[in-house]
Amino acid sequence: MGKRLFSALGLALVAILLMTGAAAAAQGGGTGTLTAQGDGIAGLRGNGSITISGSGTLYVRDAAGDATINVTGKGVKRELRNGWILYAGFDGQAQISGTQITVALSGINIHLQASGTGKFLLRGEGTYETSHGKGVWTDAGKVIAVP
Amino acid sequence: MPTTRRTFLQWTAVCVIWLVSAWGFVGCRMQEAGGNGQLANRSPMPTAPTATLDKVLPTATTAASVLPTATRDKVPPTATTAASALPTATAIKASRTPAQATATPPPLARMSFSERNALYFKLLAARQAEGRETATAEEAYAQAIELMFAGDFAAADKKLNQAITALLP
Repeated sequence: MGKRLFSALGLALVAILLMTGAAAAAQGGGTGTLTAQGDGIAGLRGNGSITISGSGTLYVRDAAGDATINVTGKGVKRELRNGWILYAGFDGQAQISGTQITVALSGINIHLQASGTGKFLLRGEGTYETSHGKGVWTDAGKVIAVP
Repeated sequence: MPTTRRTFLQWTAVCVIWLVSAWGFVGCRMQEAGGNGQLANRSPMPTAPTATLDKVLPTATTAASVLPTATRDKVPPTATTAASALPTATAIKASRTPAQATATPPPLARMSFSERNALYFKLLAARQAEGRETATAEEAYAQAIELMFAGDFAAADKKLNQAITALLP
């Protein structure tokens, strides 16, 4: 009888492991991706790479000091006292990657493609898509944790 | 222990474990569905009708150029704002003059994020055109971004309002 009980419990544990694995796979495994477009503010904080284009003001913070920042187009670069770099009058494309980066573009016609681990910020009006589905930006704001 | 009783206990244990598993799975799916379960309970801030909004380029670059005030189209990305562009602020009635707009504090509490965001960049451009110091406001705005990433939108809104207030004449 005890053998049967242990067998049942063992099966249940296997089921738990399988379901947990399925859920992790549904969330994208180790790295999440996101594409988004809209008006407002959008960005990525974490470890990964982001390609973002649009018009507005681009904010970059490189906490680890290892970021690769490639900005093309227009914009006046300035550094704030609190460590942020901003590109005022930004109109173009930026490709940024690093381990502890925060990148945000506040403006219009924002197009964002990002992959990595961390958080995506979307606020304003627009749409986004991840490997899990689609959604819309809201005025209240939305933070999507990945993976 | 009778066999029937043991069988009953076995099935009870299996059912409980399955329920816990299902609960965990559903929890994962909910988190995946936006990772902001706490946000789902927030009532969205009222948004002004888009028909009345002029989309504004949030740029800190200043110049003497004048933006088109009548168009509802998006402002060209390369355009820079100046004090003369203030009447296009989304939160300020078009009938107001720039002097009136700057004299009356904007009703920040009733404005949506999009409206306040646009107002911030308009005021920033105006103050920079006047040669005023704007670093305090810009740093407050950057802090607002950090708070947004942290998911604390209420605190972020306060910071954004502080940034706007710091730019008011």
